[in-house]
Amino acid sequence: MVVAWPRLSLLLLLWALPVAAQPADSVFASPRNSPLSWPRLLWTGLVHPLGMFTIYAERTELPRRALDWFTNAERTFGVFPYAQLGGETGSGGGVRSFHSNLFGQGIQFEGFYVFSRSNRHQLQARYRDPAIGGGPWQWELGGGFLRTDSEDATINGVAEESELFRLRLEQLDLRAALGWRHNAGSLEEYTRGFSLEASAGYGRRGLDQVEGLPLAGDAFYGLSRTLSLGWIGGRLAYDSRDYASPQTTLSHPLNYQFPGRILHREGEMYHSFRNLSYPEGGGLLLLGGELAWGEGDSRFVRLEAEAQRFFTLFWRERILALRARLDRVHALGSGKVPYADLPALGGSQRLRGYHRGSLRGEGALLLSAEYRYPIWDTWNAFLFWDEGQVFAEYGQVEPDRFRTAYGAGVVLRTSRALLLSLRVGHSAEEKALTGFSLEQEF
Amino acid sequence: MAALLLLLLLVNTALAAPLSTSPIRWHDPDNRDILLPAEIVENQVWDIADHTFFYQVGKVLDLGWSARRLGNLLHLAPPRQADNVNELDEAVSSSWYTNRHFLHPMSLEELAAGPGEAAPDTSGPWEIVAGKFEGGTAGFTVKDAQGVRFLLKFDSPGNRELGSAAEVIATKILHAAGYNVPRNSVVHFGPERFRIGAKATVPVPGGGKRPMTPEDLREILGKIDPGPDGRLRCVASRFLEERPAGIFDYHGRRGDDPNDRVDHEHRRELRGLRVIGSWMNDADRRAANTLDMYVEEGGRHYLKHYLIDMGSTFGSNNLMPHLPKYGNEYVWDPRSILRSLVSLGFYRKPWEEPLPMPYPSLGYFENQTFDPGRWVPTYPNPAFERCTKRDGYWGAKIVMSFGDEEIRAMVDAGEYSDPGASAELARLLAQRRDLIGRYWFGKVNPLDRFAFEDGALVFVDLAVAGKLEAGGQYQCRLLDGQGRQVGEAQVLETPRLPVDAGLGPGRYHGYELRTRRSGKEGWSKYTRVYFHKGTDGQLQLVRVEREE
Repeated sequence: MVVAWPRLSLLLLLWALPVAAQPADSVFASPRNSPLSWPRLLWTGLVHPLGMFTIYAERTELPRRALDWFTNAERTFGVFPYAQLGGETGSGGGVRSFHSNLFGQGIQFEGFYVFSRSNRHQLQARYRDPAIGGGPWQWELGGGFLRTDSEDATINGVAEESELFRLRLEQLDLRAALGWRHNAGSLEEYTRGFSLEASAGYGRRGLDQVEGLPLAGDAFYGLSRTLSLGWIGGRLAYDSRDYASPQTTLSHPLNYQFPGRILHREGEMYHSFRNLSYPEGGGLLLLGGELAWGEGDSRFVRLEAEAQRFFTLFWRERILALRARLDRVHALGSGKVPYADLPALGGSQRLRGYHRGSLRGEGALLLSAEYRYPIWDTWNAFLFWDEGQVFAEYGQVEPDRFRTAYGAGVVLRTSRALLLSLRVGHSAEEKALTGFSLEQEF
Repeated sequence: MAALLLLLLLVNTALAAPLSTSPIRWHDPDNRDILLPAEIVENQVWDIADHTFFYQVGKVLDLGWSARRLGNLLHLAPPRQADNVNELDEAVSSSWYTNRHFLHPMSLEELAAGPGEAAPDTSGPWEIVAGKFEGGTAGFTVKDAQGVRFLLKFDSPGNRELGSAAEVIATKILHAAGYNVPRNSVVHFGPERFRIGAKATVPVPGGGKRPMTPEDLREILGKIDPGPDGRLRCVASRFLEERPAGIFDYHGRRGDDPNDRVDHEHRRELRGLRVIGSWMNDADRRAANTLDMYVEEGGRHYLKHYLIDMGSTFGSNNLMPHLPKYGNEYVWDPRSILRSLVSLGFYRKPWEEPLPMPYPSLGYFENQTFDPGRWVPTYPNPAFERCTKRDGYWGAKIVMSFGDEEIRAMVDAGEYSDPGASAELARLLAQRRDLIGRYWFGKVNPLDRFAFEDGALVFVDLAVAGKLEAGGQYQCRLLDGQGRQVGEAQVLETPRLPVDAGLGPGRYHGYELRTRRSGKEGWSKYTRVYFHKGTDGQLQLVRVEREE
């Protein structure tokens, strides 16, 4: 049957024309809703329950009451459920807890446990006195336990490229540290300056192969056994990221009250900061070393060195961020380095564009350049260029051996905390590797 | 497909009503007796989330709106005009709005008085009935010696006069513009004036409340900056005496109010409020800051619609100065975010570098980055989004109706202690007024106040009256009742057009008027004025049409 378009159009037009609901005495009125608005009405109906719930939540202070379920009245202690998407054990759920004022002394505790599968768990805990007696000294006890055979775990990063094998790692770390900071006190969060730390620890690593052709033990020291080891070490850092000299008066308050900027008044002085995860200037220097020894032939030194520098480019908040990082383990004498302790590159922080742990060796060198620019009050976008390589000897480090990754992303944050970083990276191995992160090293 | 597109474009296109000699409608009888409607709960979070996200999606799903928007972009369909304008394209008086200063000029005293004073009686103590602790500063509900209740809101620490002055001045302006607003006044008093009422409470950590103690009161008052004489300053807002029925939204209608027949987003006074809001930088003009009152008048009960909470105006964001972006983009503005994202940071927003704030009590108020056509409040307002050039013109002529002296009279009601601050705000408002006038009068031919005098059509060129233009020429074409040109164009040097005595009686006629400014090429868009010539020769204005 052939339908005449003009006739059909006319019928549709008559059907769809809005009809004014004009009362008899000719007062003003809008036309009634035409059928063309029905999709909107349907959408409004679908959204309505959400609106009702939001209004109910606001009126009944539901967020506060929900916090009451999981935290104490002072909000210094809390236990709440925790969900993890991806990560060392893969997606899972668990519980997270914190206390920011233990014994009323400002002593802190935080920890979480995540269960992904029977063979995949993670537990971490940290107990810290950030200012012993209110002074510049601090100490902490920490520990972590990880059991994973996830193909996405760092330990399986190299395997992911070749898909030749899969390992299961069971790792325990316990650590005690004593630290000193030059800028202890209420401003420390924003201006850290010099800090020193000495630490000692104990760990166990159990490594097994769960899939693939049998691996050579030399390249995977610690495979099919459990190694215990202890270590001592220290770390020196100088952090001047985004600290401006305090002022007695403000040239323009709004220069200091932009979203994302923190204005703090103390001692008759104004201190102005940018969120530390979006510094506009300054830098970070970090040097660390550890001596580790243990069962079997485990004897090695672990070194780390990192430099970060931030420059404001042509206009405020347009930032060039540079980073160089070296991780190195040296076997001592006839000692060996457990495979699990070898530095690795790849993942959300180091050599983006490669999967987590894709490159693993006795040394790892990373160079990063990032251009950051604001897209909203406290959000920014970034373009990054990472170069990284792993090596066995320093002499192997060559410009040609660098692996390149570049890409872009956006970072959503509040003025004080990172919420989420989303990125897409490109490398020789991955055309477009997308990822997200809830942490930021750089 | 083409037929469907045509259909979509045709739908909602208003059909012009025939000309009529019925009296011009100046009143919408939306005050008929109704039953008490249910109270619509005020909400902040949903108000913002809905209008920022969900309403925006729903708008696109309205196929009529989308088709018209497409038609607007392709110049195939006109914008949807307001539903409650009369034959002269004016907003009519109603439970929402009363034509005031533009049509009926108010005296300086009337402008300064606004809706009335709100000073509590000082012959006795003020009993604290309830506390207001949300937000960054304190406030109280008090009952004065006469039993009248007031809400007292204090300026935040370090921002003395900022919010209180803005609230009172904005109240005067909105009242003069024609809106229903509560009575707000600046009051000064000693802290000993307070007496803690039996029902006054303070919140306790973790939720709940406990009775207020003198220590609590001392602590609260201790956070308020006193004046040099030790007295406290606040804005007193007299409680509306009728029964509150909750907020009104800037779109849709109340289902439980039979008088509410015009979609709020299609109300002229709400659409045009965008322009008046842009004048005052009324950044927080959203549903949460409205109030419907169930009032009684002549034995009838109906809803009267108020605008409240004017503390986020001019340079004040209530508790602190406005951020420079306020007025320039929404707090969360997807278009701005996208523009920043794709421009890789090379796009520098004009307001990124704050300008000087010479008077802290004025907060952050400037005209250098002000663009009348792009001004937005902090969150999308559906009525403002629908503001057409005609709506904008309507708002602009209200703004332009305030002379410099009248502005000063209203600004003085803010009682700034520094005369320099008062003068600066008046200067900025006058300058901003002219920016608004130039913008909107450039969009619509600003000929207005049409009337017949001694057989001639006379009118006012608002751009000339507002001293925005030195003068102009006016091109006139005679039209018949169907809008067809029936005569040669003639050019006038003054806004007075003698009506052709030979026009046929008992028929409709019209003139199409265009304006050309001194030293400029080309004629403006048209304004058409239709009239009826009676058999007795009487000329009756019946319609004004404006091209946009």
